Amino acid sequence: MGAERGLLHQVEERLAALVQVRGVVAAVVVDAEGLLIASKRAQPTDCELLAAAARLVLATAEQAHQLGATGPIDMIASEGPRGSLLVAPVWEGMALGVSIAPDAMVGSVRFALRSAARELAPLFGG
Amino acid sequence: MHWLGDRLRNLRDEYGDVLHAATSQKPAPSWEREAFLVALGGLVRDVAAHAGVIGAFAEYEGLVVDVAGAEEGAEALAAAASRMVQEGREAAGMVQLGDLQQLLLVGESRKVALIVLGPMSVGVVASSDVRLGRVLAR
Repeated sequence: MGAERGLLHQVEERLAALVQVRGVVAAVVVDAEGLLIASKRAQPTDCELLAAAARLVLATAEQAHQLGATGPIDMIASEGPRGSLLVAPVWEGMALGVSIAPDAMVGSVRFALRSAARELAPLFGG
Repeated sequence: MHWLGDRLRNLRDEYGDVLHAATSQKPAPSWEREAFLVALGGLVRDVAAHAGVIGAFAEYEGLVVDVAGAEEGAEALAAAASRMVQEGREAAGMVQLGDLQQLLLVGESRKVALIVLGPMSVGVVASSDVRLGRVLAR
């Protein structure tokens, strides 16, 4: 129980750092089944929905990988007029997702997202 | 100004009726559809001709409308692109991003950008290290 709480604390620490990046609205870690593991919000957001959307987007991207179109997926961005959803795989179907505002500095968010995904992987055995 | 953005905007402005008619009961006149397909094919070829771009395609309901550059696997990719855009739309709706405009997949070896064009999408395949936004800006 204590070990689980310690793991959750470490995951939340990384998410907290991510939502400090300009333009990041919320960040979530979701498991392979689409269940929310941890979340942090800079603005009010339905993190359960964000988790489900992140998992859906990653599953979608995995189709492209299976076709041999991209190689293993590094990151996916879904862009709309009211912002973007960025998703990076963490480990064994687990995903890190962030929603960002339209005025975000996308490059700095991508950099922070990739760094956080790499930091999170070993926490889950990666 | 952004080259690809401008070209897509021109297509949407000039052939909005055709794009709209593809999902409505009233079909666009055949001459207008043909003119649109010629313009779309020109865009696909021009995109594929950019340095760093491996290939480009346009798809409708998962079927290839036009392809240029590396054509191998285009049919499978078009089918996957259609599903990806559909699921990307669903995800965008869930987190209230508005109508999906673009989906970018970055893999270890290649990246694929899918740009929504009404009921179709235009796909651009490039090496992962290519900065597509910059390459297609002019």
